[in-house]
Amino acid sequence: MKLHGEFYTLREVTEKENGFSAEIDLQKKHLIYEGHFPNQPVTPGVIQLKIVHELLEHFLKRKLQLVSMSHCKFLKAINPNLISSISLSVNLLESESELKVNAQSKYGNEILFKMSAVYHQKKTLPLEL
Amino acid sequence: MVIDKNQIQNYIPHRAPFVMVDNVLSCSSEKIETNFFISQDNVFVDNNQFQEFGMLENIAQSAAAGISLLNKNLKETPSEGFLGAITKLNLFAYCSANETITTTIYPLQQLGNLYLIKGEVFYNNNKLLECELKLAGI
Repeated sequence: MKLHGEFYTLREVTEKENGFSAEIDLQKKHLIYEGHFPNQPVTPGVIQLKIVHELLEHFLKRKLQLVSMSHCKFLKAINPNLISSISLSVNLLESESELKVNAQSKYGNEILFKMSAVYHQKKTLPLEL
Repeated sequence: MVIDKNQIQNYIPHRAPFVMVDNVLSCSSEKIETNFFISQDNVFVDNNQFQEFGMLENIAQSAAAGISLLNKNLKETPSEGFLGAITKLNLFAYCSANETITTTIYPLQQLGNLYLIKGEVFYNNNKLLECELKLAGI
């Protein structure tokens, strides 16, 4: 399931030194909130990571593969009825073999999550069993 | 089997389409084992592959179900847990839809209702993903 256009919309992507920043708007209604959780919508942490993945592929215009994540911290539960727009700041460090990503999301001045991960081009690893 | 998929919703607050664990196969304070059949319409199936985001959610829900069972806090509406942090994540491979994954959880530390767990997801004895999670409020 692709989240872009359904779960969130992308308002703005701005290239910056060593990466990009993005402004997204969360949709209040989505199938996922029916199960997470009934009558108490919370944007799942793993969905926030999938949004970062989609934005990375959108900005770099190529398919990426997560390899490892040294850390990711969720600092605030997101209720989409209260928090509708999120700012993401993504720093990229690319070498021949890998792409290092440091990302942080904010609502106003409040940090929602931050993460550090390594990605490869999709065709390399890991292989499907 | 210690929790059947028909009863799993008594132990976790997640509901369709966001339930990412079926059965708890065994459960002790040292080790929790679960399995999960990946249906074609799973929200984390993309190009017929079950994505890492789904595997992470499967680890979190496997831990929540097992810990909930160990604490015997069976309730009408189990409390909403919160994923606080992910560390030491390594992704090795994917499996496709219409397959069953098995997941092993090792509870490492507990401080009040904060838990640090290690999780590993397998398909046919091949490890797909491993990580440590901090979970709160189970």
